[in-house]
Amino acid sequence: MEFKYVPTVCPFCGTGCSFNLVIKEGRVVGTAPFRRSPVSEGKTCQKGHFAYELVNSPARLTKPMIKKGDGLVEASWDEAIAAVAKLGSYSGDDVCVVASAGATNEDLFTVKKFADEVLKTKNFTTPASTGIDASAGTIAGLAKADCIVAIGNIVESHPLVARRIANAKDNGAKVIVVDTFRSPTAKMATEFVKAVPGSEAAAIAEAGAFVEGKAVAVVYGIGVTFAESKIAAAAKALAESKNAAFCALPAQANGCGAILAGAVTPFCNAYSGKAKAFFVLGEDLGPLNAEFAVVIDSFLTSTAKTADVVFPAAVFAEVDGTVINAERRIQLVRKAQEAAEGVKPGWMIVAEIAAKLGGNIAYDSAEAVFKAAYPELSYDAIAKDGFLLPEKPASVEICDCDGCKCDGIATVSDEYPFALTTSATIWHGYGGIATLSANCRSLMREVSGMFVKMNDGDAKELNIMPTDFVKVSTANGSIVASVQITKDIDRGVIFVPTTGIGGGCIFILTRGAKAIAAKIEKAEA
Amino acid sequence: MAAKGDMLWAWAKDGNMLDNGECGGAVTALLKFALESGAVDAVLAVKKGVDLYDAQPVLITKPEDIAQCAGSLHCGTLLIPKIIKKYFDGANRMKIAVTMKGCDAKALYELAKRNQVNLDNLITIGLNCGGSVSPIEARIMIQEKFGLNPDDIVKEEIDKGQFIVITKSGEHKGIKIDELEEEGYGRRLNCQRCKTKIPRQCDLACGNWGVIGDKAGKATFVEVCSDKGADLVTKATGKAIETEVPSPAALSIRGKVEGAMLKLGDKCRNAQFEKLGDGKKRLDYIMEQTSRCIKCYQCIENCPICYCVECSTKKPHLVDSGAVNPPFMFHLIRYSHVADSCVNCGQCQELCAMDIPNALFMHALQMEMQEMFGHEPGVNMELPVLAYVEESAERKRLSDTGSDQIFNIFSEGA
Repeated sequence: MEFKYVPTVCPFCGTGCSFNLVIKEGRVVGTAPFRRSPVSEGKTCQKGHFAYELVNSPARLTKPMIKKGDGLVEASWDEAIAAVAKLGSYSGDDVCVVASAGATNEDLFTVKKFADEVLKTKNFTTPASTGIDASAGTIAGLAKADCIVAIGNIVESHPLVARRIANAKDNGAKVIVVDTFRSPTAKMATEFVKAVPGSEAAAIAEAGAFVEGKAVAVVYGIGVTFAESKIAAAAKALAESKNAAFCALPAQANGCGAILAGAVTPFCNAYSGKAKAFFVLGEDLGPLNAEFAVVIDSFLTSTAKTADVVFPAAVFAEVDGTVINAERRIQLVRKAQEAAEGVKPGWMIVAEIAAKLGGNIAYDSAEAVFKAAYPELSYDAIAKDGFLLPEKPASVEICDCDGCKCDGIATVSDEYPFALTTSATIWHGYGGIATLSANCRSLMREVSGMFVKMNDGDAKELNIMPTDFVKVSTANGSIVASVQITKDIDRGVIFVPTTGIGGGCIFILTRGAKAIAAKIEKAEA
Repeated sequence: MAAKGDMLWAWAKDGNMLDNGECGGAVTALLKFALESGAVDAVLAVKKGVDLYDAQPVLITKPEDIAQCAGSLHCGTLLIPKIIKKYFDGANRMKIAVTMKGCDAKALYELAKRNQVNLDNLITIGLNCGGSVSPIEARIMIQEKFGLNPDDIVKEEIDKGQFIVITKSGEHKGIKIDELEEEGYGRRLNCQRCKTKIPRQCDLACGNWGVIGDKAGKATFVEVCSDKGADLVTKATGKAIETEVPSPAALSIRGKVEGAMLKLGDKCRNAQFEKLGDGKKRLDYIMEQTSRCIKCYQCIENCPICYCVECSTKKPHLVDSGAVNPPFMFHLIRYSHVADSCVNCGQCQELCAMDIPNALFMHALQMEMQEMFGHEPGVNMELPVLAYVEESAERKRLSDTGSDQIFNIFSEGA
C-alpha cells in the first residue's frame, strides 16, 4: 500500500503556510501538519486544513469545452486548440490577459511571455496588481515587534500572520488596529481606531498618535477593491513617519510572484470594458461580455461559463511549481498526485495555445520554467526553507482611472441608509480563490453563501431575525444573503465579505468599491 | 523464552543495523523481523522528511525498506494513532507493527476504547521519550543558544539531562535542558509536564536508559510488557536480535533516570498549572485566551480523543456556523467531551493557529477530574467515567430531580 506525505504550500492567501498532503494509493486523501514550515510551523487555518477537499472534487473539469450555440460542450484537446485560433486576431488594448495571483510562478511567467510575445499586449493583470509592493521583514519577525499597527481584519484575511500579532501582544507589544467594525482583529487590539467605511486612510493617520516603540511594524492585509492602493499609501506614509517596517500582505497565495512576473497593469483594467477579448488563467472575473474569451481553469467558474474555449487545468496538488509569500519567500509547491488524463498544468496549456498562435514558449518541465525566471535558483535549493528574496523599498502607486478615482466614503441617503463595508471572510477567498474554497465541503458547511453582518439594534428595527435571509441592495444591484446579527458592528453600518460564493458576489453590490451606500430588507421566503 | 515483565538488553544480529540503528538497532531488527516473519503486514514508523527536523510517518511493507526508519528524531512531535484511525481503517484490515512514544501509546488506548483502532492487529513498540522539540523551535534554539547553524547538525539527542547536538564536523555540544527551558527553549510544554517516559502500555518498551558498561550505546534496554511482546522477542532472539540479561546496577540506573524525569515532570506541572490560577481566575484566563480562536478546527482534527463523525461543535444550535471568533461554547464542548480522557499529547496546542495553550487547559482539567473520579486515561482499557452513564436512565433522573449534575459528585457514596 502506498502511503506518503508530500509537503506543499497552501493555495489560499499570501501568508504561505505549508502542510503535508496525505497520499494513499496515489490519491490525495487529507492534509497533515508540516511542522518544518518556516512560516507556519505546522499550523494552518481552516482553509489550509481543508484544502485537500477541492483536489478530487466532483466539480473538477476534466475535458476541454467549446462554445456551441448558447452553451459549452465537451471537446477533444485538438478541437479546443484549433478553436483558440481566433484569439490571434486580437492584440494590444483589444485583449486583456488575466491570471489568478494564486497561480504558480511557472504559470505566471509563461502567461507573461504569452502576453508579450504572442498577443503583443501590455494588458496583463492579476488581482494582486494593485500597485502595492511592500514586504519588509519576516512574518515570524512580527512576534518580536514592540508595536504593531494592523490595518484591516488580518485575523480573517491572513490568519497565520495574525498569530504573530497575537504573539507580539503576549510579549507585551502594543497592538493598534484600524478597522471599520469590531472584527476579530480589532478584538485583539490594545488600541482600536474605528474607521468610517471608506475613510480608512484618515483613520490610519489618526492611529499614528498611538504609535510608540523601537521595533514598530505596520501591517496591511490587501483586499481586492479599488481603494487598496489609497489605503496602502496612507499605511506607507504612517510607516515612514514612524520609522516602521511596512508589510502589505497580498490577498492571494502568489501575489508577490505576480508582481515580479510583470503583472503590473492595474486590475481595474479587466473591468474597464475596453478589451474585446480575454485570456484568463484561474481567475473568476464574473460573467464576461467579450467577443472572444479563452479560459484555463480547474472548475467551471462564472467566467468560464461565458468563455468560447475552456481548458481543464491541474490544481496545486497536481503540479510542481513555486509561489512567493508576503515576506518574499519563494516556496515549493509539490506534485502529490497525477492529474486526471487530459488535465494539464497551466504553463503547459499556455504553451500549447501559444504554439497554435505561432509562438514558442514550450518548456520541458516546471523547473525549466522556474530556471528561466530565476536562473540562480533550483527546486533543490528551495526545498527546505524556501528562498527569501532580498528586501526592497516599499512602493505604492495609486491608480487614477475612472473606476478607482470615484471610490470613497459611502454617501448614505434615505433610499440607501447603510454604509456597506467589505473585507475578507476567513472561510473563502476572492475570485479564483473563492472557486477553491467553494469546492471544500467543510468550508461550505460553515458558510455556503453570501452573508451580511448587521447591528442588533438595526436588525430589531427592521424586524430581521438571525434565521432570515435579506436582500442587500446598492445603486449597482442586489444580492440575497443570510444574516449575522452582532453588537460588533455600529448602527448604520453593514458588512458583506469580499467574496463571491453560492451565486452571490460582492462585486454585484460594489463594482470594486470598498464602501458604498446600501439598503437591507427582509427577503421573501 | 521471554515473558511479560522481563528486562533485557538487545541488539541487532545484522551488522548493518547494529551500526546504523539507534543503540544497537534492536528496534529496527524487531520491526524487520515482525515483517519478515509475517507477524504483521506492515510497519508504521517515522522517517526523516526534508531533513533531520522533519519527521514523517512511513508505512513499510518490504523488509528491505526498513532501514529508512532507523535512528531517532527528537523533533518528531507527530502523533501516530490518529493516522492509524484516519488512513489505515483503525488497523481493522491489516496487521501493523508501530513505534510509539508515551503520548502515542496513551492516545492509542483512548482510540481503542472508542473502537476506533483494533489493538489485536497492532504490535506496539514503545520508545522511551524524555520529550520532543518542535522543529522550528529546535532550529531557533540551535542557532541562538548553541551558536551553531541548524543545517550543520547531523544528529541530536537528549541524554543525562542535556540536549546534545553533533555537527557534520563531529563537534558535540550539550546544554542542560533545565537551563534551556528556563529561557523558553527546549521541549514542548506538554512534554515538560509528561510523566509517561517509559511507555509500558506498549507490547515492548525500548530505550537507552539502563544500558551501561561495554554495551552502552550498543544495545537497547527492552522491557517486555505483554505476552504479545514476549512472543515477538522469543521468536526474534537468535534470528534477528541477540539479548543479554542486564545487571542489577543497570536496572537501578534505569529506575533512577526514570525517577528523575518523573520528578522533573511534577515540577513542571506544578509551575505551569500554578500560573493558571484557580476558580474564577482560571476561567477568566481560559476565556480570555480562547477568545482569539479562529475556528480552524486543528484541535479537533488532531485530537486523539475526538472521533465523532457528528461533532457537537458543528451543530448550529450549539455553535453558530461560520462565526469567527466562535463563542466560548466551542471550547466548552471540547472540555466536556475530552477532559476526562486527555492524554496530554499536546497536538491541540502545537497546531493551534492562534497559539492558544489548549493542551495546558485540557490537561489541567483532566488532572482535576482524575483527582475526583480516580480515572487515569491512556494507561489501560478502563472506560472513562462518563461511559458508564446509561443515558435514558440519567435523563429521567435529571428530569425527576431537577438536578443538573450528571454525577452528583458532592453526595457521599454517589
